[in-house]
Formats: sequence, C-alpha cells, structure tokens
Amino acid sequence: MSKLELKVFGSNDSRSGYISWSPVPFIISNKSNQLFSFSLTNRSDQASISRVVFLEKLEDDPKDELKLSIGPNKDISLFVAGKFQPGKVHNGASRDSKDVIIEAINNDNNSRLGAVKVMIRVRKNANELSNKARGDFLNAIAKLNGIKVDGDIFPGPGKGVYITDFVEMHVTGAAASEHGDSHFLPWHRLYVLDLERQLQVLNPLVTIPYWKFDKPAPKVFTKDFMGSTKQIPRDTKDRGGVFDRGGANTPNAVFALDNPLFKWQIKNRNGIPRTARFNVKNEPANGAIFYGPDNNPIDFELLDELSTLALGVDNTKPDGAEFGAGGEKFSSLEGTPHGAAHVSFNGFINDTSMAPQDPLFFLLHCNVDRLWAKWQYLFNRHSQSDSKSYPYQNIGDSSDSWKLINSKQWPWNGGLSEPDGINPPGTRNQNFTKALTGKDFPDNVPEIKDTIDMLGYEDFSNYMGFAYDDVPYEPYTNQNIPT
Amino acid sequence: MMMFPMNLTQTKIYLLKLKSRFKMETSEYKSKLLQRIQDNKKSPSIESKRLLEIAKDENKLNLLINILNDADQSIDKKQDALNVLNAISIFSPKLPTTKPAFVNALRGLMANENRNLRLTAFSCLAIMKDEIAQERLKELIVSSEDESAKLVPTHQAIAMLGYDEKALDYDALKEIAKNPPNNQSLIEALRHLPFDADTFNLLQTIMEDDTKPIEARSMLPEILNNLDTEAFLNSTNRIIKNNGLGDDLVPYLAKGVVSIETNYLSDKVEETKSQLIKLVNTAPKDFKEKMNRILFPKK
Repeated sequence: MSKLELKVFGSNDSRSGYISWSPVPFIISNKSNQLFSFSLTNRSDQASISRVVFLEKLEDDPKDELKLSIGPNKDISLFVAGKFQPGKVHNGASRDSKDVIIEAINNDNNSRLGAVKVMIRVRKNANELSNKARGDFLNAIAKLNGIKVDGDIFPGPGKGVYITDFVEMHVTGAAASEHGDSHFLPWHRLYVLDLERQLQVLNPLVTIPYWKFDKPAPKVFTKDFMGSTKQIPRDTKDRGGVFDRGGANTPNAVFALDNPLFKWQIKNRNGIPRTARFNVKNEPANGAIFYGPDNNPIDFELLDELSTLALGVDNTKPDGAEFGAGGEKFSSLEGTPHGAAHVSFNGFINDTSMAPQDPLFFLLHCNVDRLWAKWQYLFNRHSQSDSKSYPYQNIGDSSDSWKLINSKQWPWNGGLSEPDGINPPGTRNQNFTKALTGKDFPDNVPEIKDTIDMLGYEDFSNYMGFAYDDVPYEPYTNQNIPT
Repeated sequence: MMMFPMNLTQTKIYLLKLKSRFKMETSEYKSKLLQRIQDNKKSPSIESKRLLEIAKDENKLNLLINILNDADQSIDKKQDALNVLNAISIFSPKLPTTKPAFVNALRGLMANENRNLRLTAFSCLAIMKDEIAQERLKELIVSSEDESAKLVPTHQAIAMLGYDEKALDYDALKEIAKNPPNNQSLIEALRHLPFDADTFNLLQTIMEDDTKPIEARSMLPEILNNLDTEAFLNSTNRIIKNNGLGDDLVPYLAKGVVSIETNYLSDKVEETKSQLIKLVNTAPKDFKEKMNRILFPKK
C-alpha cells in the first residue's frame, strides 16, 4: 500500500496518466498521519528514454527531481510535463505505452512512498511509429468504424460512430462552416481532436499520427498500415492521370489480411479507392499538373514544410507573423500544402464530402494542424485576443458570424451548417468528446478561441490535451526571432 | 479536465515569468528551426497561385463552366476545365455559389462521346447526389446492353451510385452478383451488397467457386463467418477438400477460422484448423510461414 498518492491532473483515474509537453497539475496526497521528506523523481521504463520534469510553480524552471516534505493528511500541488529531448526518438515522447515511472522516494530510508506511470502521449510522425503504436491506432479506428477487432460486439463494419458522426460532418452541405477562410484551421483542429478523443476512449494509448506529406513516407503506404497505393501520372493530361474526384474509377488501396483496414467499409461499401500521383515508396506528395483556360499548364505544387512555416512572416517585421485571412498569410495554407496534398491522389480523399471515408484523411489533416501548431510555437501566436493569431476578433471583422473568434462551432453547437442548413449528424450535438487529460468546453460546445492556445501558454487551463512530437512547449523569447 | 483557475494577478505573474522557463535546449531548437526556415523558404509558385486565384474568383470559375457548355470547345479543353473545377472543389470558397451552373454543365456532358469526360461528369454529379445522374446510372446497371456500349460500365455505375446509399437498388445488385456481366461488376456489386440472411446462400456459392476472382471471394470469409459460423466452417472444409493449397482463398479462410470465438462449435473449429495445419505442412516454406503466422497468432 502506497503511503503517498501521486495524481496526474489531480486524479487517481488511470486514464489521467497521459501528458504531453505542457505543464499539467500534479497532486501528491498524504493520507497517513506521518510526515515525509522525499525526493520526487522519475525514470524510464526498460527500452525507453522518455522522462518528465517537475515544476513547483508554473513560473519555476523545470527540474528532473524535487526535494519535498509533506505533512500528515496534506496535499502538495505542483506541475509535471514531458521532457522535450531534441534529436532523440520522438524527441523524448513515449513510443506506445506508459513508459515513465514517477516515484516518491523516502529520503530517510530510500523506500518508495508512491509511484505512478505516465505516458508522454503526443501525435507522432506516421512514418516513424512503432509496430505497436501502428496496430493500436489501426485497431481503434477500425473499431470506431464498427469493425470487429476483438470480442466486442459492434454495430457492424461501416456503421460505427466514425461514419455516423465524423464522415457525416465533413460534407459539402457544411463546406462553408469548415472551409474557405481563416476558420478552416480552427475547425479542423476541433474535428481531429474530437475523433482522437473517441479513439482514446477505446484505447488511451492512441493518438492520430501525422503524415508528413512533404517527405517520402514509405512506411505509411504499405499493406500493413494505410494501404499499398498504385501510382498514376502527376499530369492530369497524361494517360491514366484524369482527376477522378471521389474515386469511382479508381482501384482500391491494398491491405494485408491481418490489417483491420482490410475490412474497411463505409456503410455497405467495402474498400478504399486510392491512387497516388507520386511514388509512395520514395517520393513526397506534390500536387498535380492541371491546365487552365489558356491551355497553359498549372503546376499545383505542394509547399514544403519550411516554406509553409514562413507564410505570413514579413522579414522586415520579424514580430509581424500573421495568421491572416487569405492572401499569403499563414491561413493560405488551405490552398497549398493542404489542397495540394488532397489532389495528390485520386480516390475518396480528393473530394470534400468523401475524403474522411479514407482514414488517411485524418493523418493528412493531423499534419496540417501540426504545421499550424509549429507556426504558433515559432511566432508565439497563442493569444486568443490577438488579431495576428486569429483575424476575426470583433463583429464586423467577417460577414460570416460563424467565423468570429467567439463563435460556437457547428455541429457541436446544435445549429445548422453553412451553406445547406444540415443538422448535427449522429451524436455530435453538444457532445464534443470529454477528456480527463485536456480542456472540456462549456456545454461540450467549442468556440474558435478554444483552439488558439492549445498548449496553455496564456492560461494552462486552455491546454487541449494534445501536442506534437516536434512542437515543444516553450515560452516566447524575442531573441529567437530572425532579423 | 481538472481546472486550476487563475485570477488576473496570478495570470500576469505567470505570463511575466514565462520567459525564464523551458529555455535551454528547446530555445536552441527554435533558433535552429527559424534559421532553417530563413535559409530554405520559398513562396508558392506562380502557377500554384494561379490555381488558388481561380478558386477564389467567381468570374474565372464561370469561365471554366462556360467551357464545359461550349459545343465549340475541344474535348481536351473541356476535360482540363473539369479537372480544375474538381480539384479546387476541396478548397474553393466560391465554387458552391456556382453550383447550379456547374451541375447543368455536367448534365450536359452525361452523353458526351468521350468516355473519360463522360465518366468524370457522371462521377462528379453522383458525388453531389444529383438525381438526374442517379436515375440514368440506375438504368445502366440493369441494362442488358453490351458493357463496351454502355455510357458508364456497370462496375463504375455501381461505384458512383454507392456515393449515396439511398440510390442503390439492392435487388439489382444481387442480380448482378448472380449473373455479372464481367468480374469487375461482380467485385463492385459485392462491395456494395448488404450482407444478411437473404444474401447468404449467394455469397457462399461465390466464395466456394474458384472460377470467381479472388478479389471478390476474399471479401467473403469474414462476412460469412459473422453471419453463420457453422456454414462458414462447412464451406471451408469443402474448399480445403476440393481445392487444397491451389486455392488462393486458403489464407483468408484460415484467418476466418482462427477468429472464431464461439464455444459451442469449438470441436468443429479445432477439426477445421487441424485440416488447415495438415494442408499447410505440405506447403512450400514461404507459404507455410505465412500461414503459420495466421494460424498461430501472437497473443
């Protein structure tokens, strides 16, 4: 029986032991009548290099170990965060399990007073996942789609919440609620997170991996993961290169027999049509070549990561990085690389209303969201009230009310979509999935502003409960802005 | 999530002191990243910008739609225009406002003599759940016309109707599965057919028929197993006995057998598994290893 209880997010629930790089509440409870002097320390499980750091107060420097005392029947409140270790595997995040053991060691006799295991759970590069992480993700997403992956009884393939809620909310009739302007990134951040939380209900070890589309990802497009995908020409004029929106004329990606996606179904339709305009084994995605009314080729390229992160950054005013509304500000990434990544394929994934029917969609969008998170990190764009972080701050800034910073987002708001007035599908009405490990929203209805301070810089209660393996938590320092 | 609300003063202190935290390795990390951006960044190409401009400009979109409507424009030019319109649909804020004109133009291409253009137009309309296109596709899947003469071949027509579950006629699909005009149509019909007691016998027959394409048969073991485990085991034993290792379906059957969790059939499951193991023991090394991974999965 432990003398001290170590509680991540102040909870004894084992589902709370999932942190990322942001400091989150950590409570030590002494239910005994003794006083203890102890060291709060942490170590990695076998074969792991992951570690955490502690902060007595948020303004303190993080420490690997703390010397503490606790009186009888007292609590100590402090903070814990994953230790970002640049250059190491996943920059120090956990690979696929709770692999960090936080321990309270009695200073008098070296006995263990209490311990808790945690996972530094962040979204990772899909091309670098462990076999277990990959399997956990595939099983969870298949299960959410009603596919039987274990003994559980589910409604049957193609009939799960994945379809009734998540496929059905990303449709043409809601296109304006979700696309075409600055709200595109916030809305999709919510969308991806809501799905991820659903997956974590099934298996808390799971995060949605990101497909880094500007680099080759040979381990992603395999039969064991997102499916082996045939190549077609990049030029839409070349034989076989016609843009096949939705993929009715496109062969299916091929999955291994023991890959749960082998049984992928959308309602009654079996399989995922998908071909790629790049060699998935050794090339990055790179858009497609189209032809304009003047017959001249339009080489629609995928903007690489470094160039994307430079969007909206004016070299003459290094502090002036702007999220913006269209133009060449950061939010213009909706065109490229986002749009260019989608049109690098034929199949479900190149059409708005069909794209989420291919689970690759969520890996693609996870990467789009990572790019935003990284840009926010680089240029300190976490302030909900700063128009450089999000442009539509006040009534009148946009003629579309659903794009304002305080607007409650469809479908969670229970309203009607733009432009076609669709009701919230499935179970999403006032039902953004709750989490023990990240922010919940009043009435379970998120607003755009909830997405801006995702790591909790402005207020740690804003922390949304997710992060990326290459986007650390680090306060803004002016000396880091290039001049 | 457990909240620790801060008052205004606490928040100010917190923000003031932020700069001193987490500043060692990660600051260097940020500096290096910013430097890499500075050294390597490029703007979106002029050509990419052209496409983005079209996506935002209603006049340019209308120009493209007019090309689709213009009888004097070449097939190539129409196909190019349609490719662009379809591609930008994923990020264009303006395309929805031109939808009526776009839909009309697409309907005008449904009978176009060029196969690619016609199929692209049908497909696009089907995604929009356009009733006019759906009606035509429904006629096509039951038509006895030669496949090469059809405006849209049966298998593609099924795939297009499949965009809208309500548009599919399941009796027609069953009929196609029974008497498919070609293998592609059989595969596509099975992809969309509901699996229930009504279709069980048909599916079982197709699974056992080794003249049918493996792409079609391999969809079925899992489904039949879920519908009627005992009948699935009977089918498996018949296939093992009749076709042996020469049947490409054997790994799929094995996967189905090992996934059975029903206790009351445990003897029959073990017996079938033994048959499979006996069969696999005579197989070449690679195949044997593959089968052993299926038959003896790691716990």
